[in-house]
Amino acid sequence: MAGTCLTVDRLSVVFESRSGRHAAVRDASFEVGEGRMVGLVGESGSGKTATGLALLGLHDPDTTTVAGSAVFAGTELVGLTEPEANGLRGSRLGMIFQDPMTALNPLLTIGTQVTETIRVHDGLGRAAARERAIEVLGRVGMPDPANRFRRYPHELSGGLRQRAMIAAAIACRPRLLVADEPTTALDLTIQAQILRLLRTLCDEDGISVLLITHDLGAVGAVCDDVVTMYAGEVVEIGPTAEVLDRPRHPYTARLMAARPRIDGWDEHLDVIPGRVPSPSTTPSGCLFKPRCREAQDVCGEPQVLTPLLPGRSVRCIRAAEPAGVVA
Amino acid sequence: MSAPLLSVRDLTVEYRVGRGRLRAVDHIDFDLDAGQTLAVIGESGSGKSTVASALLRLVPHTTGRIDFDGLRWDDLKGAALRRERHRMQFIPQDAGSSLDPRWRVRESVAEPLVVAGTSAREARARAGEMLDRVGLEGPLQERFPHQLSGGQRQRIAIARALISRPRLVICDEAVSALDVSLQAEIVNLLVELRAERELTYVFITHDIALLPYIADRVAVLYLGQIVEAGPARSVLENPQHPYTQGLLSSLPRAEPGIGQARPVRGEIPDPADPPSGCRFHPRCPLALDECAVVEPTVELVAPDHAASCHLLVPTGATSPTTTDPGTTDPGITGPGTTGPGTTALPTTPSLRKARS
Repeated sequence: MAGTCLTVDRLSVVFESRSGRHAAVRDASFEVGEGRMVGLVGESGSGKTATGLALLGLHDPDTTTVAGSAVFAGTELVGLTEPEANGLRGSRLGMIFQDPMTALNPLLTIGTQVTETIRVHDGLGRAAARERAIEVLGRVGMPDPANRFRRYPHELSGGLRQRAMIAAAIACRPRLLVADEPTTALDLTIQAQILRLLRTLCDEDGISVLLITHDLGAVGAVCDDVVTMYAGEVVEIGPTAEVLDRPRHPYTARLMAARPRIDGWDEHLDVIPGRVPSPSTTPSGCLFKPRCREAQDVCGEPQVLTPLLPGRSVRCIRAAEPAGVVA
Repeated sequence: MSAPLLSVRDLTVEYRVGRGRLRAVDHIDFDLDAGQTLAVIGESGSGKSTVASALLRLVPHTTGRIDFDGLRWDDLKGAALRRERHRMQFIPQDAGSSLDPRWRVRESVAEPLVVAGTSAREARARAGEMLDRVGLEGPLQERFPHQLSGGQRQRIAIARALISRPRLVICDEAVSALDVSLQAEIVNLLVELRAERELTYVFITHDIALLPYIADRVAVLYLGQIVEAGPARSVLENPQHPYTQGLLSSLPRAEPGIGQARPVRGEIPDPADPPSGCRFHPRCPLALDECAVVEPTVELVAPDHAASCHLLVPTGATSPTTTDPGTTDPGITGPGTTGPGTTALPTTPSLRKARS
């Protein structure tokens, strides 16, 4: 396996508010390998977006405490000053979000926005930056890039806006792209195209991707590895085929079972009873226990993320049992 | 045989756009029997929500006739329409924005009954029962919408739609914004309520994978036209129109290794300026020369299952020539691309069969 692009070690994100402390991310540890696509999955409230924002340094420093470590290409991300974080974002660390309308400036043409990124971070002159911007727009599949260069975000379809945001994100050849629900708001057809584009950028340009999504289908289609989060904790890590085909954590298994299947005739959709616990919960034992069909008394004890094989870890008492016992 | 609950013929809806007109729904026909669920699928801009608005009589239609529940539905006006509206109700995608933020949940659910002349007291009692049934119990009923989660608000929308005992409910992306487990809960609830209250659904969604769990019939909409329609299982297991096939192969599969065989390329064109001939031809991997010129007719491909595609016409006189994807395809820059070389007919045996 190639080197590691991002190593997250016991990352925690705590929001402080009048009502108390809310742990959005609890001691999360995982890696993103060089040139790999890693899916970070979980329901709303699992802490996946808080993890992404903390990595990018986009959390609100007045209300949020980030602790632990996240080393990206030799740089510690936790505790960076705002100028340092700014220097990384948009250059070596790219980001894309669900809604390009909020990420793109509505007053500037998409060409200007991509060109700005290149000029700020790579210090290219106006003409060279423009040339590169058009090339990048073409690279992300923008039809007729020289013409679209002069368009404003509102003049583009949702899919093309998402391409424009990806262009701005990869214009300075980042090592890592953090993509938070980049396809959720798009039509199925465009979703498939954007996922394929991300995969291509990973394969051909060597950009590692952290794909934050609730869609296990998207992860199965393009990701190399999966990290499942539940209530702020990482509960399962492994290669996509392993985790989705043979989930070892009951939560991953239940998520897979709750997914509608296009061949699910005469079947009933499986429901995970209960709700994700509130971030203000102080954990005692496994956080999934109240919703778990296989819970035992011992699950009331704290569970740790236990490595089973290289690259495969599970936070469940039963994961240590011989394979095949865990359904 | 009894008449269908809903019968739509030649329905066209046009919007004025600048100086021109945009035909959002273009001469569509369909029937829906009581107790059945018709799923309407297609991309944004295909006209799905306009079909809903036209059925709900929220936008005027240019042509066509709608017969519903024994009424000449498209002719109803003013007070008569208001009196009958309870027969057809609506569940939106974002229930939060359709509820009055200053009203307690139970008041919002009781409102349709009060408007229809029920006493406030009885309306509140029935709203309470209805909310109990959809799983929103006790003190939750006295809360304000912003105090509730997305799943709970969706339950309120269902209660509000069902309180006036409709025959038909139109669900417009009613579960699309929910997490997978919540989505399963709401779909299961809709299925239970359908049996319990003898409901008929028009289920508009872009989430095709939900169809096996709720749909009896499917209509695939593309730029305002139904390009394929039939029994849900027949359409999904044996799709005949290249657009339906493309939609199905755009579906990401969690099962690793099952690739996206032939997802639809490019984007849906501007509905104000639809392509000539078959509207799908610029994105179609199988397009023939005639597809750009002649509009295809509706062909019956199996019992009760029809599609509009030139490839389904049993002439065999023309040979397939693919259009150049390079000019119309913004999405494909990498491997896994389905180029013209790989779009040979053997990948669609059903089409080939139909030609011979």
